[in-house]
Amino acid sequence: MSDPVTTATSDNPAVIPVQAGPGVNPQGPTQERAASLWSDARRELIRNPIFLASVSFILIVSSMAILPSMWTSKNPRDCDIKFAKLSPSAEHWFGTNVLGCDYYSHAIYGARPSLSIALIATTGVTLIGVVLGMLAGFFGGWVDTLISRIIDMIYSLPFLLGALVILGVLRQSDLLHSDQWWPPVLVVAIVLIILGWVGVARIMRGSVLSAKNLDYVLAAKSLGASNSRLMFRHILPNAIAPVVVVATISLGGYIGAEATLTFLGAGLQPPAVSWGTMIAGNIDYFNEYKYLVLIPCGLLVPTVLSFILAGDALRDALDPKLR
Amino acid sequence: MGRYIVRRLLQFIPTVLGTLFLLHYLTTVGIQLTGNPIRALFGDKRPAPETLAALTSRLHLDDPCLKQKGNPCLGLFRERLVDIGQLDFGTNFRFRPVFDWRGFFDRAHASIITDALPYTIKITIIAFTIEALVGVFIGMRAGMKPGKSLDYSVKISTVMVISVPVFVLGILIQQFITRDFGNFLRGQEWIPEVISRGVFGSAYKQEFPFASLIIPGIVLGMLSLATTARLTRTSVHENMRADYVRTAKAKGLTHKRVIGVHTLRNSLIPVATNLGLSIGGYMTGAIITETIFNVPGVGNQTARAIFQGEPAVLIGITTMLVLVYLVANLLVDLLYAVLDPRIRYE
Amino acid sequence: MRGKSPMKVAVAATAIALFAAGCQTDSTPEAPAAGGTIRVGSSEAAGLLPGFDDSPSIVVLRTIYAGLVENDNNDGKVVNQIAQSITSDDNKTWTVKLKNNYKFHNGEAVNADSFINGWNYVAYGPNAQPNAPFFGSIVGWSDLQSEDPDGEEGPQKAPEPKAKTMSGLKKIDDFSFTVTLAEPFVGWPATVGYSGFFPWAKACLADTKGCNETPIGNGPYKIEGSWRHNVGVTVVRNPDWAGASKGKPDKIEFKIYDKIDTGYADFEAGELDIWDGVPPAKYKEAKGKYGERMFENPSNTFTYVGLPLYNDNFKEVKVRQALSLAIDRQAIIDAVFDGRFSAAQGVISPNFEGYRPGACANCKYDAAKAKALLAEAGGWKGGKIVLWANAGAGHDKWLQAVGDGWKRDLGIDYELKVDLQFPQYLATGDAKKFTGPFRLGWGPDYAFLETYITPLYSTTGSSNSSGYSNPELDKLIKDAAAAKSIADGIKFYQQAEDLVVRDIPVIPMWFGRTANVRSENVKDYVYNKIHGTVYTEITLKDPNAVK
Repeated sequence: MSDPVTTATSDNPAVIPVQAGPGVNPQGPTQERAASLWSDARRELIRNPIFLASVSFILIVSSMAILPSMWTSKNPRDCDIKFAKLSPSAEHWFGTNVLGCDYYSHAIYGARPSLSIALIATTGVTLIGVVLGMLAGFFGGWVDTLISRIIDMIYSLPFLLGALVILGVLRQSDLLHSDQWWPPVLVVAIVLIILGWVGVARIMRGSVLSAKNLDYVLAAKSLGASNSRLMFRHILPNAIAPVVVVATISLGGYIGAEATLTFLGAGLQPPAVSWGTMIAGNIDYFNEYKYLVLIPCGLLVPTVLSFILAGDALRDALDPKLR
Repeated sequence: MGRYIVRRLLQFIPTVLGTLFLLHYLTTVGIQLTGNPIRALFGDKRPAPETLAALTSRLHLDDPCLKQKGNPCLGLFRERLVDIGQLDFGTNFRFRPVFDWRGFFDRAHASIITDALPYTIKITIIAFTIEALVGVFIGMRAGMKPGKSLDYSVKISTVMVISVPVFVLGILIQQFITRDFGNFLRGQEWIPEVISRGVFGSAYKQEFPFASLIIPGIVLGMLSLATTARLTRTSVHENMRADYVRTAKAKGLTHKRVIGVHTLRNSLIPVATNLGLSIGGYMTGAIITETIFNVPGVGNQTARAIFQGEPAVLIGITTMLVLVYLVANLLVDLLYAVLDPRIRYE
Repeated sequence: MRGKSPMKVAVAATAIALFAAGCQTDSTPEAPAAGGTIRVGSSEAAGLLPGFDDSPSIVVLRTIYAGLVENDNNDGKVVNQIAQSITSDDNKTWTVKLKNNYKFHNGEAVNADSFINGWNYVAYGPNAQPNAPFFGSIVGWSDLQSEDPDGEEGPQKAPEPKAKTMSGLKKIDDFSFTVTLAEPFVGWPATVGYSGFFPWAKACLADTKGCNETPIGNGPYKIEGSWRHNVGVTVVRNPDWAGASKGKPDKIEFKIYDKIDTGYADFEAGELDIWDGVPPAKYKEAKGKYGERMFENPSNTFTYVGLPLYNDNFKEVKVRQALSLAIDRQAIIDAVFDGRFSAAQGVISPNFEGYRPGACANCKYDAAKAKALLAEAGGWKGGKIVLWANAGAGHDKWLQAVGDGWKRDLGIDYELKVDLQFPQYLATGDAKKFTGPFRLGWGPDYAFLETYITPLYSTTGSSNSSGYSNPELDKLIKDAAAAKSIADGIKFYQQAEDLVVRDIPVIPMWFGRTANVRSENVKDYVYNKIHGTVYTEITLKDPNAVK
């Protein structure tokens, strides 16, 4: 589906048994202490070539996003229509686009908005999802009912439809009338957060539901631990693993989502440069100028792939049963 | 069980109301910020103010609260609910009714949703069948022999599919498969038209109401297929090592029986949930797939409504989608009780 | 669609019977040559009523309806169709005489009432027909509009308008009527060729909703079945048609596509005989691929960059001229659009009578002259120039090129403001709040050059978005409207055009360029300068190629 959030979340098998309702433990026996779980995982991961390759690619792309001037000296806004649609050459490594802008510099500068959107969205989704999912799962009762109904409401709104409608409204805000690169990025990210947190919240709620009845939690409770101590000291470390995995995977999904929204005319718009605007803005020229689409796709797809594969490897490492 | 269903059905009410309000509020704020959407119908030509006013009033967009930024227009929302209660979903800007149930049986009462729904149901069935059959099959094969080449290729190819944005996928398929390969097929005399023009047509065709939906259906099912395959693989993989499978094997049951009855049945529980939920996801995917392949279904209408800022159409379609989603969700939960004996609903 | 339904057989039988009857009365019958079916790409129409149409509607409406006048397929000149004559002594009261042998598809005669009642219906405010303003020039139009009653308290029911019929429309007898205009207008007979002026059958007025789905027209073709929304409209030859040309194809199938790329893909897959408007990005490729089978002609859609004359920075004529001179239109057209536009040489479409090539001296790229003019005017004092366009329609690309040119040749830096959605963008323009040059477009309403002048540049022009006001021009328009003949009128309008291209209230950019492709099976392709492809006149090499 083009719904990157549900795709990514439901992709995680750890999610599913949780939805079966209380009493089914998503992580199997998690008697080990959290710390050893993570250190085991780390040992496992540094021996995994796919994980290492993915992470290196992510690092490369991140360096483009953080320091684009390290990669190119050209300004992506310096365009001359006389040199439009030139094929790749020594002067222009990736050729020039329809307006005669250097396409290589676009590819480099395009990394920042794309990655920022994904990063901000993932952070926001994880924070909100974890907190609300935790509250719903831990307290139950009317808190759970309220949060679950909101989750249902947002879940039942098709992702793209919701995003397009909300973006249509937010686009009018003054945030978008700025010369800076980040306000539109923020707007798109906020929309992804509004629609995305429910996935994480569901997983979290399920994890908490099963974790709160585990022996050690009950033991801590009978020892008089406070609610917040129970939640953050005992339950969270055990329930967070599936969330971390989903977060990594959906990070990739959000990069693609930005491109899809732009294609539908609701994401970032030119003159903003992102991989999404590069693909969506040039897809019409695919027949004649294939490089205009292939280059941004050639960056976007491996990036998404890296995040998903890294997330996958992380899941395998965190799942004690798979060892 | 009966009480559980009643309780769930009752919980629908606030969810549906909440979603409707959310959408009402968003479209309202949209109009408050962007201005009267009717004005855009006239484009660069400025209409006579009287005509603009007449159209606006006919379409019930003349409420003054639509001019006050941030006003939730509760009065308008109440009117809308009353209308929807009477099964009146309003019209689009061209005065076509959004929904009229009689349209399913009688052309004279045709409406946007009753016209569009059959296409989307057809394409959804195709997508669902492909997702369920192919996804479960390759997932199972991969899960039974983890770490082997098939497992890896399934993993890589499914992840690849997820990481390419759908619209790129759709357009690539349209370019290379339906146009280039399709034109080659259409040049061959011996290939029946239903294959060359229907299945490999670039767009939906009335003459081939089913064949020409197969490729759009595959594109639609493709991404969920990846998810299903991966989910099945992991699930089968885990269950293969479960105690009860070991017991079954130890008892000397045939391999076939162990796989077919014990492993598969249990592995399919999470898969079933995902399949149920993916039906809701199809509606989202349909927005892009139907637009690319010119299928006149619900997704196509949704995209159009969003870009023309048609509140009545959006609200009508979403009401329907929310209900479909909630019912699918309920069915999935009930299915659980059937598949997993540990779960009992009070 | 499979097999022969009894219904279809019945229709065919009546068609034959009617045709036989037609042979007896009509002295010069055309042979019922097999014309086959032509398949045309189209898009979903707003409506199929003469009062409620948009460009996709008009494509279909022109085959199933016929108006008082028509534009000749060869030279675009206005010729009578249903009208016998349209005459006036003072350009104010027009007498319309009708031919008496035209019929609607349901058998009703096309008479004076078909026009008067139909026009009154469209003009009547509460009927909410978007074409209502087209009748605004007729005496009594405003009596048919209701005042907007909505106060702060909420919407109220609009009061009934004062009248239901325009006092300017008077029936003389069954086949003649008079139309009184509020102001004289020499070009009025040309305006009634527009689809908004088509006649309405009684049965259609009685059930407008049904008539929208199954139109009852009076044209050379009639609808088969009814409108299949978002899928297609099929029309078949009307054997009862009294007009001169009987129409070449037996059947025209309009297939509806939502996106032009999809429709074009289907054309490339051999599913269509005619595709009007190759997607801009595929234009170059199509040109090489289809060669002879691509028809190119300047089109009538005019794109301009309006200048906000209400802003002090744009008050000086020389500044405006400099801005216009510093745009290399052809370079932008070539780079951004692969040459798919015709650079504007004036503000009147090249297809219209009265067009003069090279009318606009300020539309030729001349960087040196632009620089000199700007210096004479004392330079640019407005800081960064803000270029406006509506979002999501792809205008940003060429506007950016315009800005780049100004930056290069005049040293004026620019920024784009392209994030407003269309309604808000238009509202901003209506409220005269643009802070810099803005993109707008214009299409003709009727085949008379006045449509390119009065609405855009007269002081009270309905779409005068620049705020331009020139008493000299207003007077010319008045003189033109009252001219003795069309030819005299045209001279006045040309003088008005001269004023516009001198004062540059808007920077003329370009006219569109049709790029229509056709399949190998099309034999004769007919193009009307005013209306585009004439589907009813297209012939096929092998009429039996489809079905």
